[in-house]
Amino acid sequence: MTAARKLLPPLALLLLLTGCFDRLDMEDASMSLVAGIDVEENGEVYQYTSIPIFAKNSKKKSQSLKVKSTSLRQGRGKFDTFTVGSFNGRKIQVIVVSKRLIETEHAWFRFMDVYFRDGRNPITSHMIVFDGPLSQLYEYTPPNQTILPIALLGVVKSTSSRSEAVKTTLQELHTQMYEFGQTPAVTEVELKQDLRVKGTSLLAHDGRYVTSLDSKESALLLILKKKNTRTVGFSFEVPKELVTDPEGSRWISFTAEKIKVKIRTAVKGGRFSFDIRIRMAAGLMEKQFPTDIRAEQKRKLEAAYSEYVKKELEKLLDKLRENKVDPIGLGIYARAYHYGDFQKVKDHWDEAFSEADVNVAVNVKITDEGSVK
Amino acid sequence: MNRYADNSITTLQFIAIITGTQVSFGFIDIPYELHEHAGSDGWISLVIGWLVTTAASLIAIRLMKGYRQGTLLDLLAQYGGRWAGRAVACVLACYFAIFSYDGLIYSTRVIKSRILQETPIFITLFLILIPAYMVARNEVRNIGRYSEFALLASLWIPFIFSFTLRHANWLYLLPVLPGGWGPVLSTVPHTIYYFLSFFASVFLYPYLQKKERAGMAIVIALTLTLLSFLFISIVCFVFLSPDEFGTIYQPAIYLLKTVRLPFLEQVEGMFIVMYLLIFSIAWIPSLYFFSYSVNWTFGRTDPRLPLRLLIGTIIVSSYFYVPDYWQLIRLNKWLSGFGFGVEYVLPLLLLALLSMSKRYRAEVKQA
Amino acid sequence: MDLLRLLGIGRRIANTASGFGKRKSGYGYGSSDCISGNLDNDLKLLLALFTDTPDLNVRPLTIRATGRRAALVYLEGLTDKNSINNNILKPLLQNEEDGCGTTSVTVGRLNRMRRWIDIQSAVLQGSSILFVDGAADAQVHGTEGWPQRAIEDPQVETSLKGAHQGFVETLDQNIALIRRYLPHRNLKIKEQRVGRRSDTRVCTVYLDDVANMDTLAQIEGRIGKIDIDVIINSGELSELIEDDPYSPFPQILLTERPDTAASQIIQGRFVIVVDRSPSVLVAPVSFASFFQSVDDYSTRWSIATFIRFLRFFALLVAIFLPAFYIAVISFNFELIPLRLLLTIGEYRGIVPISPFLEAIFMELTLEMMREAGVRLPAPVGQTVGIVGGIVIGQAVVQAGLISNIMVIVVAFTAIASFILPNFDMVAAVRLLRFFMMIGAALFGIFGIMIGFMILIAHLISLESFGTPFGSPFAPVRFADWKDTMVRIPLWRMRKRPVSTKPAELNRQVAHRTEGEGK
Repeated sequence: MTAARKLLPPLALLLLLTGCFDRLDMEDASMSLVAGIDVEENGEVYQYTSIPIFAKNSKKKSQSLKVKSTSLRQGRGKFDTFTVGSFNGRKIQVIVVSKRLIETEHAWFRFMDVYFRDGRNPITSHMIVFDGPLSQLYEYTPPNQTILPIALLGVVKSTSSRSEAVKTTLQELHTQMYEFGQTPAVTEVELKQDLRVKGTSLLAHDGRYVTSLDSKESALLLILKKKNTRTVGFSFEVPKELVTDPEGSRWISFTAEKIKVKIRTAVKGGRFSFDIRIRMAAGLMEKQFPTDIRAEQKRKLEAAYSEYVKKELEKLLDKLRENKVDPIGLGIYARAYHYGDFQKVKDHWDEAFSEADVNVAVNVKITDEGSVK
Repeated sequence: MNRYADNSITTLQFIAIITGTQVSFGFIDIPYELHEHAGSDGWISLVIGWLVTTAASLIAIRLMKGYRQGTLLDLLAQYGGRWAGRAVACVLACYFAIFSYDGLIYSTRVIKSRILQETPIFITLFLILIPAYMVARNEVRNIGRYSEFALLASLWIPFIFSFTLRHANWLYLLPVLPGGWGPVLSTVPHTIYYFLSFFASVFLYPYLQKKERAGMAIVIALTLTLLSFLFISIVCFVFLSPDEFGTIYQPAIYLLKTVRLPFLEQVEGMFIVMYLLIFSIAWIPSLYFFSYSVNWTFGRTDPRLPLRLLIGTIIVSSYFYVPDYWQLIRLNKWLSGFGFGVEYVLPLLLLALLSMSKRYRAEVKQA
Repeated sequence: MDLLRLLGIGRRIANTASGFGKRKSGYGYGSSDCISGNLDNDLKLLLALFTDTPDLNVRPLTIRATGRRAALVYLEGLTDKNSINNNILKPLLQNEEDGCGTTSVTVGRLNRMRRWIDIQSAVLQGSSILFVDGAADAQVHGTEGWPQRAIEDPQVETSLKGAHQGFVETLDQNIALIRRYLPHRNLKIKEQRVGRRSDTRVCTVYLDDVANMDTLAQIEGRIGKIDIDVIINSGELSELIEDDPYSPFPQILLTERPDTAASQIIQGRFVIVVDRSPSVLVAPVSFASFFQSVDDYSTRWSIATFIRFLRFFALLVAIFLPAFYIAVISFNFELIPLRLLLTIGEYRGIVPISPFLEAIFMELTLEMMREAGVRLPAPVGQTVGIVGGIVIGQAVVQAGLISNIMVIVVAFTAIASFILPNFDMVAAVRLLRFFMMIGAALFGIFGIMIGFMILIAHLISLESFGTPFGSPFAPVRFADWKDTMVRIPLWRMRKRPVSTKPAELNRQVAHRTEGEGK
């Protein structure tokens, strides 16, 4: 014991002399908060980044950079030549890809490899598709003195909290890219006057851009994916028979809560068939015409509402099948319940899905009228 | 012998040591291992592996009932002569040395790839060996206390994983047994590695305060291990799609990367660091048993010298050479084979041999 | 004449004799040397022993009753003048009754001594000695009366609801204070003497039927083995009999309160009272004992439980917060959520020095202010607090040398360490904090974890007189948890803590009488 005690101080000193290898003080680090990848007309891949500036007297709060590089890791080295601190990607909040990239470079997901491979990079960063050239986005200064990542995150979070847009993190995208029974869906953002969430970008299994959904369709998609938030809002015009003044406004808005979605699968003659049943409890939010909601009227209103939702869902599903994409993940159901059949069509599930039968049944109950009649 | 009474460990400590050693790296690696061979039904292999191991461990306990005053080595010396004891002691010393080396290198590699990327491995290794030495150089009682504490301090781990269930899709577990029982059964040998070191019970047996509880204690320990493995495996299976599973190493850590607490992001950094406590329960008892075996061969009782030799060798050698991941995997496979022989087959053989001795049978009846 | 030869022989005997008993004197006579009985010779020898001792008063007198010559020897200042004048001198000088002689003295404690060692020790302890011409024994009166202070509130351990009495510097008074709480005949005391020159009386107080006898043997043995010249304070004694003096943690509890001491005795522990010291030692203790305060039992149990949790939380904060700050800022900033990161980054951008240096600087400043506050007298001490807190903290931030966050971290840590009730534990925590900060500065949160593991490895091997120090956490003793993290209601505490290995596990059960409210 005493021998070890005697050894302790010189050992401790030795340890102190070894130095700190991994130390990177925060003010010496330039952390990339928004990483972007774009491709220009000449086919060159460019990387973008936005770093916050911590200096006391700087006018700008963040700095945007652009370098040309196909390898993200190499790009990092190039960024480092610009930045005051040591460039790193440990705190990336948002990863933006331009629409042109996913339209032209099909295998763009390979760029994401570095985020998974390096143990210190986060996989909770949000994925966003930007409709337009990325230089436009990076030159944009958000109002209210916020910096770009906060503005982007804010706009994505606020829409997804109302179930008006899909919210995909890098890790979720990874799952969707690899999953044979599902195709990826990513938030789509554009810059028109201000930063705006346009809707959802749907991609094919290999990453290729296929089509976009607007916010109404995104809400329905979220319902089908069972990833909607508590309440989803719907506004539509009721059929003329239910209104006393057919020429006046027929608008009505509901907030649906407690949405229960049941999906059943079956295989009929080599084709898959899906039965989707939806039950909703809705509360009336806005009624622009006078009508009494009682008994008969109520049932008619419910029927109208159910019909409306069903039609919209069928439109969405038709669009999906037409474009041969399955962001809902019906393939997962297929695999779970009909494993053998699914395995046969695994590699071209998009084809199989486009040929599948999908039936939707919607049942709505109006539970709440609000504070006024 | 007096030193066993002074040094006695409680049942809870016994359970803690055994469970701790088994859970430590299995927790991180087992989902990947199971899925690779058996897909989403891997958890069934786990249960089968558990049954086999429970049987083997009860055999080991039964073996020790024949000689309650000492460890396995004393038992062998009693019935087979000193040289039989010495031979087995040498084998066991090698086994424990490799086991601890394996554990240490594995933990250091995980730390290096996730947290301390620039620091040279031999420094990280040196650092984790400091508390390991401090605990292992004392008697079994200290190891028991340390394991107990580490286990209690790690009760928060299941809670943290419950945050990942947000992304869970239970459909990933279906269908059950698409490929039949074949893949499931063939995965069972792969689970053996993670159940290794229940064998420590033959060394710990004389220190137990209440020996009649030994059988129950070891079953509880193994069940705890099983539950931990099942928990993490199922959580991983529902989180990750079966198609992406094959691309992700150490799924438990990957899962934690997605957890975002209000005051802490990238929780896996904190997790790995706090998990060090459990990692350390894997190698500390092995280090101790190694030095015990060596001491026993030479008739000494001071655990410090062989310990210092081993630790010194490990640190110095790590300066020059450290196995990489693939070599480590090969080492694991080899170790699991060796371990199977030592932990599963050896007690069975010994029990069979010793049952032929009348004296032994009489001792067991007395117990 | 023979005096010098006597001295010479005596010194040789003294030097060669090693087994000299507990008191090794350097005086020039053998241990068995007795007084001669001849007054003049004895007095001469006495004066030869006590050279350069002007406070030694030799009062020659003639005992009226017997007519014999005598001399009363005592040390002024150590004796009670009243007692000597009225109770000893007066009866001796004025009492005419026949046959009484020296026994007419009206003093409580009366002994007879013969050996020079004993006589000398008695004089030095405040007794007065009566040498009578022709008597083979000297008479020793218990006339101790040294200066001592009144019983006051203990300085360091204040309590809101408990008694406002603290131990004083006299052994007998302290024992009396303990006896007031436990007037039971099984309260036993074992007295020993420690220190070659200080000859300090050390008493071990315990309950005979409750405490563990093996531990008692250990304690007595350790105290007996001490070979030192002086024990000034009980803190020194504690360092001498501790299991591991190199550990940062105290393994013996020091307390100034009689109620705490009595409560510990009831739980099966031993209280060691040291003469001349107002702190008593309590052994054996475990880690959890340092987080208990006597107020816990006077306040309602739910509040007491909350405060106990707060203390343990404060322990963690006090040890790990600055280190965690350094680790996160320097190594692992990805752990911080984005908005907090940006805020901290703004502050850090201003500061020119690295987080580790910043933290060390602030912590050292705080430690210096703490020490300064202890040394200064009360009115000036207040100013230090204001100067330190407001001026230094604020000015340093505005000058841009330290970031705001660092000041907050340091202040929070300081407050956390003030919550802990025991001074020694706080000192340990202060030390460990720096240790953790260095670990964090070198290796980030991994370094903190290694530090934590080393701490645990150390704690579990620490023992306090045979009981494991880490109990009830490691080894886990669920039964003892009832008084550690929580303070369960008194009527539920039926058993004593297992960690003290008491001979009698069950207390007398306190039944709560049903009030009207329940």
